[in-house]
Amino acid sequence: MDLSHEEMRTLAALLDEVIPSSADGRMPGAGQLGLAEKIAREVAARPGALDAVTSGLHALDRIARGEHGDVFASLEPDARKRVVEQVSAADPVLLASVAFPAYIAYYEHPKVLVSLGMEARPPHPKGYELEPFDETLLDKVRSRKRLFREF
Amino acid sequence: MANETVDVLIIGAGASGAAFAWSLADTRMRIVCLDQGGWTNPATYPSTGMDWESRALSDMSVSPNTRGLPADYPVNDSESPIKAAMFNAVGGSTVLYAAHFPRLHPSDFRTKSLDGVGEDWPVDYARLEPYYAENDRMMGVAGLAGDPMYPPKDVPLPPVPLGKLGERLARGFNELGWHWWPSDSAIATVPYRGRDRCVNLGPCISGCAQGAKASADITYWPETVRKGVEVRPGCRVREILVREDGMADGVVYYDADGNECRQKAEIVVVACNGIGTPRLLLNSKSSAFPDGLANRSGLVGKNLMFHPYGMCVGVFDEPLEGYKGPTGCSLMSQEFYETDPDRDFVRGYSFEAVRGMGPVSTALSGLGSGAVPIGEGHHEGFSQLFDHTAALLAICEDLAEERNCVTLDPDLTDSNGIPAPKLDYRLSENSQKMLAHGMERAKEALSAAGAREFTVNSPLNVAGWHLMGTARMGTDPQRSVVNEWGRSHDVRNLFIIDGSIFVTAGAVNPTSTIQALSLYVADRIKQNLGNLFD
Repeated sequence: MDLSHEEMRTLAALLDEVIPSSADGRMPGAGQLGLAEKIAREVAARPGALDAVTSGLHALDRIARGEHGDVFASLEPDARKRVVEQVSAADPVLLASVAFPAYIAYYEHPKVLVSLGMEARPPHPKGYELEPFDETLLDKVRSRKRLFREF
Repeated sequence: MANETVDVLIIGAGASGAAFAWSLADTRMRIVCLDQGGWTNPATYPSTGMDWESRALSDMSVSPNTRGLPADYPVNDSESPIKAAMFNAVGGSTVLYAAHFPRLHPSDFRTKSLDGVGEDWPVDYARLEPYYAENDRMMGVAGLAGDPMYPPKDVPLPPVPLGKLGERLARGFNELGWHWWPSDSAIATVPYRGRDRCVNLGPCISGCAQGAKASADITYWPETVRKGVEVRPGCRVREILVREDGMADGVVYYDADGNECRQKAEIVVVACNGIGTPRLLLNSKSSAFPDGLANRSGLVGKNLMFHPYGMCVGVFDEPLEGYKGPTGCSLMSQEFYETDPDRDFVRGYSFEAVRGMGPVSTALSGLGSGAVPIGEGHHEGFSQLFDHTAALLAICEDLAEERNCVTLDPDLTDSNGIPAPKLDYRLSENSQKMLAHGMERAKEALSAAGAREFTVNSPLNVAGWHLMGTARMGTDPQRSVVNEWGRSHDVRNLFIIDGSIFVTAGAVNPTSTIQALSLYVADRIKQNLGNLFD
């Protein structure tokens, strides 16, 4: 079972509540990175998780309509935050199910790595250069007597 | 399907099987090695992709239960606070190990005589030293000679760079006047025997795409295969068969297509490590050995030893560049290695410095602890941790206890229907006191290095990498499974060469000693070929 277009829209909006953009604008919100499809796939791969997430997304829209007259994705940030708090208080499964794959997808994203000051690449093949260490650091240890136990 | 009888059949192509096969290949005997896993391709290792951190949590996890790959067998570790970690492939767990490569100390072989605990080994450090040295050359060990914690030894390659993080910690240890030394690491820091040099990728524990880390598939095996030893990947052994005279006859195994096959052999060598070896022996029941092969002592599967680990993470104000460089290898402290009568435990532990985490690991660890919250405060929490942490692991000596054991699970099986292993393990009071001491001293060291906050995770439940003691060696057939050179007391053409023959655990990573022992056993076999079964 896949998420519907509406459910995907709600999920994308929820991602901005899980990882919002930073106050200084340096770090993007997770909802701005097009991660919803990837996270939906991850959720669907975990037995039972998709039903729980779908139900949670429906709850977000239901409360949003009831209290603010519009779907969750169309609300202003403050209103979204309050709706998420209500849903989470009643059932923490939604956030717990979405946060884990969201954290992974967010911190693997090239834009996020660049925002962190890193290069947007895997470790291999370039790797990293490290200087040989200063062996005078060992002078104090070298000055000690033989430390292994003799018998 | 039956095959021609071979001279030597090795079960398991990991650290011990590879070293043993390499040494014994000199004899030009017909040698075959079966492994349930296959050859891995470094080009597919996680560090080649953007998902390098998340793959270490899934298909390249150290837990066979998480991976669940066709080569894996399940392990029921629900009754153990420490969970099994291993990898099933040619090269075995060295494909995913951190390549920390310290030797045991002379005292580790004499704990009974020195401290009244455990048992003395039937071999000692001096006996194994030439094999340690040969293994260091074959694997390509980086480090620095002159460590006052060890008898003099050569180190073939220059040490792994400490990096900013390691130097910070080193200054902390110096301030306290405690021992530390650059880690002995099975990592090529310069080009070595066809391997390229380490480029400090970081995630050694999900496979080294650079080929600098010394996993047995790229060190021993290429040369051993060229010498004529046959490796059969994808072959899972169900049981070892015995002849009417009580000698091992060969094995029944399933090939990669699930076909049941037989392989007869003059000598059978088990190299499946501390869980796989007792599992295979206990699954090899016959009228001569109703309690499992080579188990007249009743000790097969008993005396399971891990190294209980405790981890203390310190948070620093300045960036440490901790994601650069081999995760597990920078420096080690053995200030608290030996017994001190002023402490409330016997024997001791080492500290291993662990470099910082990547972005995903930082975020997930902060999600678990609450330090990187969902929503408000997320970025502030993340930036306080990312590239600002260093950890010390206390690796504690585990004392053998018969109640800690590997048995066969009555229900759980692998994909071939072979009964799976079950672990029953409890942390001893001695280990708990040692862990508590280690975490307090870790805070002192991290604090001296400049850390301002600490998080302790002890015992570290994912840390069941070191699997030892479940078929231990000794001279008394009532108190041990194999003799002083790895031959079964009960079955004279059956040898065991892996971590299961350890008598004590020491407080260091075991691979160096596992391979030194396997080279030693191979040498003893070569020296005694004329009267091997007497």
